Amino acid sequence: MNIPGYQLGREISIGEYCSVYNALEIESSKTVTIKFFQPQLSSNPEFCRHVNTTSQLLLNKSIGNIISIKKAEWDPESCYLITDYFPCAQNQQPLQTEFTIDEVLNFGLQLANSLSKLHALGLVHGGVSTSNLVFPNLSQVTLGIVSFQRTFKQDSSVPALPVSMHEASYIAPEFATGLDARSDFYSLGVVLFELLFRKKPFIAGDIQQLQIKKEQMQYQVPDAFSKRLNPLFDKLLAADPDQRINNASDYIEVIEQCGYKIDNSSSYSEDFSTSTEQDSIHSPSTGKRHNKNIIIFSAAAGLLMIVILSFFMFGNQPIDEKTKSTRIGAIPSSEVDLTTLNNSENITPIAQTENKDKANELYQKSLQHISQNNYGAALMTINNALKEHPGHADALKIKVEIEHEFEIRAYLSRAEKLLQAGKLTRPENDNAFHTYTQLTSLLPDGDTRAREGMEKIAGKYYRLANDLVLKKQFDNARQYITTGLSVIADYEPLKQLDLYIRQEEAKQLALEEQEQQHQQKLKADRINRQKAAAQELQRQQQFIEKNKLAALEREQALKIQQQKELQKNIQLQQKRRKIDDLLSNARNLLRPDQLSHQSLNSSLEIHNELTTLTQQDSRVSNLFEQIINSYSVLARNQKEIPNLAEALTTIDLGLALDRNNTNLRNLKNDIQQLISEAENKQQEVPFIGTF
Amino acid sequence: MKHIPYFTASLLMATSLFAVFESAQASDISFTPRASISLTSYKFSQTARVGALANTGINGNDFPEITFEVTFKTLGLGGTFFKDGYYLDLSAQKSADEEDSFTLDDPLFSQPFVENFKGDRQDTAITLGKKILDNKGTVYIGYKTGKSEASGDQGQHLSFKEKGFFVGANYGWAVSNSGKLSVNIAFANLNGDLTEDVTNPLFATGTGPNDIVAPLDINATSDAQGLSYGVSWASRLSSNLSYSVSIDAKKYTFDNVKDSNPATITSKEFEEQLLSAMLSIYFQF
Repeated sequence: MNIPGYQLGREISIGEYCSVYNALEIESSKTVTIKFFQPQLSSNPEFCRHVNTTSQLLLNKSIGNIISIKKAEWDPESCYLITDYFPCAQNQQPLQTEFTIDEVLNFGLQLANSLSKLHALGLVHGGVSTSNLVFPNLSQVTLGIVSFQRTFKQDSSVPALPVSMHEASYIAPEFATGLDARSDFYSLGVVLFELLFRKKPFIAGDIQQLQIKKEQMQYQVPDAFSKRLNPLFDKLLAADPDQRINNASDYIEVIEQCGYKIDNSSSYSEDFSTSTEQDSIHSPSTGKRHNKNIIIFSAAAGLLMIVILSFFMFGNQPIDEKTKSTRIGAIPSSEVDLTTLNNSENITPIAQTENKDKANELYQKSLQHISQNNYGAALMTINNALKEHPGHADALKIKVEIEHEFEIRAYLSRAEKLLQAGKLTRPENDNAFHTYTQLTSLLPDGDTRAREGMEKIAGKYYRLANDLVLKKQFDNARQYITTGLSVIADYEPLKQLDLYIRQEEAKQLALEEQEQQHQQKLKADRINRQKAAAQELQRQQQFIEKNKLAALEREQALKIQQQKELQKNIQLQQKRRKIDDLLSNARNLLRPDQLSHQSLNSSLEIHNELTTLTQQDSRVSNLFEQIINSYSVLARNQKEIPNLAEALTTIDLGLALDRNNTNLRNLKNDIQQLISEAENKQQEVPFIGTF
Repeated sequence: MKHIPYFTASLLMATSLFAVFESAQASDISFTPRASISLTSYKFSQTARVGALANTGINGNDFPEITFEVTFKTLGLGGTFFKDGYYLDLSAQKSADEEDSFTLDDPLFSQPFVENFKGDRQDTAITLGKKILDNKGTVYIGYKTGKSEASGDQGQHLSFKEKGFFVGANYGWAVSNSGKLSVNIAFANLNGDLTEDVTNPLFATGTGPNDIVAPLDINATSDAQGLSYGVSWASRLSSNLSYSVSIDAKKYTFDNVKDSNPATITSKEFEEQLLSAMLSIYFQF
């Protein structure tokens, strides 16, 4: 995983909740610890928010002896914390150091103070256990960061966190109902018990039995001497949180009740040669360990710087087997007498021989570290060798080489940082290329690291140029290529890309020439078409002129024609008017109430006149039909009167005009029948029968 | 003065017929009114009433057979609606009063009992007929009423009525375009209503004013059968007038006589016979 500003180093451990790595903080060249939460937690936004919120309270703050959080990051991919270097790893190795009661009580005081400060911020630690402790020396303890997974208030969407037997041993019995400040003190009680007696207060086969023992406080102080501490453990391991110690003051008070003296003014009791700001505890029985502590502390102080430097530079485990460290689980049971390191002037010849052999041995080991590319360990080892034998020439030479390597690595680190920042060749004197160039002078022959770095620069230019080539931005791409080639003149990919650009440009040039020729041809064709169009236009204009003249003549002819038609229309209208008048007169004459032989004759005369005036005018033929029908109407009227003879005359007149008229013929038949009937009736006599 | 009612009735009927004519003119219905006069020989008879005078001892206790014969002069008015071979004829006839006498000579009387009767005859009929046989004949049905009344100077009053439906037919022959000779026959099934009020004390019994019994009173109903037959000659007088001369015989026979008083002894049979010679004038529009 890539974390900007940090170079991930060795994995320290992988737990159920998180994975812990060493890392180099590039800017400060310090070793730090990065804790990555497992995906099951980091994928939970609520958890990440909890981590972020809590971290904001603790960020870069010194909370007693609790390790500082330098940074907390939360992104969609992961959730992690960066702390000061803290080599604990949730390991569960058995304790290898026997602490005195005073030391343990002193640790307890430091931890109680630290927890109280943390609780004052409204936070609960939740992760107080021996595996989360580091002992820089026998008078100081450092507690790891807050257990975010345990202090996280779970809800239904987050699965319950698994609790191993190891974890369960430190967790207060009220774990299921929620942890608070008092729970941390319970864990403190377990820790102190374990530090003192190298075993846990409650041991059971499973978690349920363990819980029962916790609730029933079934623990026992193993030796009679330590039974003085029963009140302390009764108060720390109380099953009821209300009965439990929950701050540092209570802790001090209970310790004093147990017969131990607390000195808050200094970190250590008067017997200690050096003092710290930390509290200290002592009892009459603690003097036998004080001298050992002074020796260890003063010797370790010198080596600690070397070890830390080694950690910072390489992220490797800084603890050497022969280095006195109080790291629990890493401390060998047999302590090294470092006082000899500070008394080399008094070495005897036998001792000198032994030292030289030892220096040679360390020198060889250093070479082995170098072969393993572990220059930090190599420097530490070679320094030890020089301490054994300061005049060891090979060791001195190797040390120079190691320091030279460190210098190279510093350049490489800086160059990489600049490379990452995109400062490839600019700004001047502060870019990756410049740094690699400087590095080149430091590198021995055959060392290709500067070359590789420059290839990275050139490669980056290649990628930039290639992107532009894909976009056909050849000029800009060439600038990148030029710049890239200024870094490595023979960088083949850039040269290939340059060649490709040239080929593409040549192709493009050829295409452009071809296009130009095509355009010229098109232009010539266009000119020809324009000429032809002009000629065609001229021809059309002539044609239009000719047509105009013809149209003018047609127009004049049309006017004459229109005048004639107008006159004709006027005559026609007069004629129509006359026809309309005649028709109107005829229709008036043919009104049923005015019908007579005279009116019919008049209408006939009008019809005859209309016949001469019109030709096949349907109105005239309709008028004729109307006249004939009027004969029928008149005849019917006469029949109704009855004037059958007159009606018969009318019908005959009508039939004279239209002998085939069905109405008239039928009517004539009717009238003739009526006449016949009338005649018969005149002959008829009444003929009825009655009683 | 005694003819004024008949004149008034005739005037009213003529007015009605004219109104009918005007209405008929408005439609396709033709109407032919007519008037007629006739001489009718009328003969009424009823059989002897055996035992009817048992308490008086007159005439051997029997009331003798009665006949009444007169010749009426009768005036008739009528009109016929014609439409598409059908006709509806209305007619009414009424005679002038005529006289006859009844004589009963019995040894009990000091002198013969003679009573002079004066009476008349009225007839009305409505007939619906259809021409058949190419207008040569007709069949018809109708309803008629007839009433003969007479009042005697000795206090008797007689009334014989008949009414009911009849059915009949006639047939005619045109005679050389000058007229038509026709025969007619009809039958009627009638109800009779016979009344005889005999108030003369001669025929009464009883001891006091409140104990008078008139044994000869008849107030009876009966069945009656009518028969009519005759022959007629009709011809035109002008374009609008025609005439007919007819001889008709009618006979009404009353039987199944039932008096309202079961004790009354009535005649078993009553009969009227009429023989008429009638002249009718038709006005043809």
